[in-house]
Amino acid sequence: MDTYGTLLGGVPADEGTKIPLMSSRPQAGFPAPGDDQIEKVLDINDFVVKHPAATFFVRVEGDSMEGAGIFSGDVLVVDRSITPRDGHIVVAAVYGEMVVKRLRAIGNTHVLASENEQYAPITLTGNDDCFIWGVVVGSVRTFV
Amino acid sequence: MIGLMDCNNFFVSCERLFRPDLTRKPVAVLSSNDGCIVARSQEVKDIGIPMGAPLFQVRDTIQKHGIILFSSNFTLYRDISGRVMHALREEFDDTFVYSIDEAFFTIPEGMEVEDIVKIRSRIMQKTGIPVSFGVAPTKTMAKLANSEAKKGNGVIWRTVDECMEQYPSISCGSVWGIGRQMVKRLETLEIRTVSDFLLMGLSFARNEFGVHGERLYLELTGTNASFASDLLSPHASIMSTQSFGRKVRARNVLESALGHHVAHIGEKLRKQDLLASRLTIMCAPSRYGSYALRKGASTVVLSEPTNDTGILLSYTKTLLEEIYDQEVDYAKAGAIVGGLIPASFASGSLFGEVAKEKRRTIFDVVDRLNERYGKETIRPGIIQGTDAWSARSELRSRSFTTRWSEIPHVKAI
Repeated sequence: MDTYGTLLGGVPADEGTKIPLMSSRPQAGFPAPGDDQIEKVLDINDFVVKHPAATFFVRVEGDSMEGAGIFSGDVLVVDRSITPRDGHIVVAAVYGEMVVKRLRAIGNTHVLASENEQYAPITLTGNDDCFIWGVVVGSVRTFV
Repeated sequence: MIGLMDCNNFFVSCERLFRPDLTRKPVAVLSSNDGCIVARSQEVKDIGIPMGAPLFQVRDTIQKHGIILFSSNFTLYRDISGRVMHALREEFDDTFVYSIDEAFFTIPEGMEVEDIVKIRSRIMQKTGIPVSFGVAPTKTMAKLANSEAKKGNGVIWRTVDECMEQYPSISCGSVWGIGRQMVKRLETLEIRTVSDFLLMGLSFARNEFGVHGERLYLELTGTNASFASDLLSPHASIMSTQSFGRKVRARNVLESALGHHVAHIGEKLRKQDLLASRLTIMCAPSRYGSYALRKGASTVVLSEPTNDTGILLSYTKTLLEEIYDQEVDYAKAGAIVGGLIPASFASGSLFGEVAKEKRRTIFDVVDRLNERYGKETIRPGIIQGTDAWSARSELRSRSFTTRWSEIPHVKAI
C-alpha cells in the first residue's frame, strides 16, 4: 500500500486510520497494559473530507496548474456537493476528458483557465461536452 | 406516503461516472462471468438488446453498434451505492436500503413533489449518479410509480386515485411481488391487468394466493401491508456467532468458522423463504489485546437480495480480507444478515433466472439431507480459494474509489 493509503484510508469508509492521542505522557519502559487513557483520535478524513458521500480523490497528470500549487502526481480532493463559482479550482469533463482548471467568470460566460500561460482557456458551452465535475477543495502530497 | 429511490441503469452509470467519454455512447455491463448482459444504457435498450441476454447471442449486434462492454466491477458499484444511500439518508430520516440501487423511505409530513425534485437533483449532483423517485401511499405503488418516473422526468408522485387510474394499463407481471408463477395462474383466469386483479376482490386474492395475495391486494389499494410484519423492518436480522475456546490468529480457522456461520444463516433464510440484502461479518479481537481500535466488523449491501449460501460465502471472503489482521488474536467470529425480505419480493432477474433456479435446487437438496442426517452432513467447501470464486472479468474497469493506485487521473493541460 502506498503512503496515501495508510494516511487517508478510504472514503466514505466509516473509519480512517486513526492516530490515537494519548493523554498520558510518554514514558520509558513498559507501557501501561491496555492504555485506556485514550480520549480522542485524530482522523485525517475529518480534516480533508467534509462531505464523504460527495468526495472523490483524483490524481493530477501534467503541469498546467503549478501556478495554483498543484503539481503532477498530487492527489486532489474533489467535493461534488459544492456549487462551483468564480475562482474555484475545478475538475471538469471537457470533450470526454477529465481536466483540472480554474473557473473564471468573464462577463456572462464562464471559462476554464490554466495557471500556465501556454494553455489557452476553454469556454464552458453549457452542453454536455463540457461540464464541471466537481470542486477541488484540497490537495495531498507526500514527500517521503 | 412512501418513496422509492432507484438508480437509473445503475452499473452503467457507475462506469460512466469517471468516463465522460462514454456519455451518450451505448454501454453494457456483463454478469459475474461475462456470460450475459445485466445492465444497459438507454442507447443499448433502444437498440433492442434484452436484459439478461447471453453475450454469445448478441455478439454481432454489439459489434455492429459499437457497444462498449464492461465486466461487473462490484467493488466500484458497492462504493458508489454507499454514497448514493448516504446522500439519501442526509435527506430522509427513515430509509430502508432494499438493494444495491434501490431504497425506500418515508416522506415526512408536509413534503411536496417540488421538494422531491430538489432532493433528486441534490443527490445527483453529489454522487454523479442519475436517480428516479416514485412516491405513493404504499411500497408496491411507489415501485410502480418509480418505473414510470424512469421513463419521464425522474419524479412521479401518485395518490391512491391516481394509481387506480393507471391500473387498467398496467400488466400484473410488472407489479412487484407478482412472480412468473402467479402471472401464469392469473392468465388462466383471464386476469391480465392490475384492474382485473382488483376487480376480483380481496377474498379472491386471499383464497387464491393466501396471505401473499391478500397483502398484494391491500398494497395495491393503498393500505400498507407487504412490509407490515416487523420481520421485514430493516432491523430484522439473523445472526450466528460463537466465541472460540482459545485465541485464534490463523486466517483459515477464521474462514472456516465464518463459513460455518454463513452456511447456518443461509439454511435459516431458505427455511423461512427469506432473502437477505445485507451481510455483516465480525471478528472480535481478544479483549485483552492492544487492538481495541481495530475495525472488527464489515458490512456489504448485496448486489441483489439472496439466500444462496454460495453467494454469501463469496462475499464473506472479501469482507474478511477487509478486517483480517494477522497480528491480532481473535476471540469471536460471526455473521449477521439484515434487510430481510420475502423471497417472493425479489426484484426481478438480474442474474440468469435459470442458473438461480438450479442453485436453489442444489440448496434444497443440501438442506433436506442435513435435516435428515444431521447438521452439516453436507456443507459447502468452506470458503474456497480465490480461484474458485473469482469471476471471469476481462473487461473490468478500475477500482476508481477504493484503491489509491487506481484513482481517476485528471489532466492538467
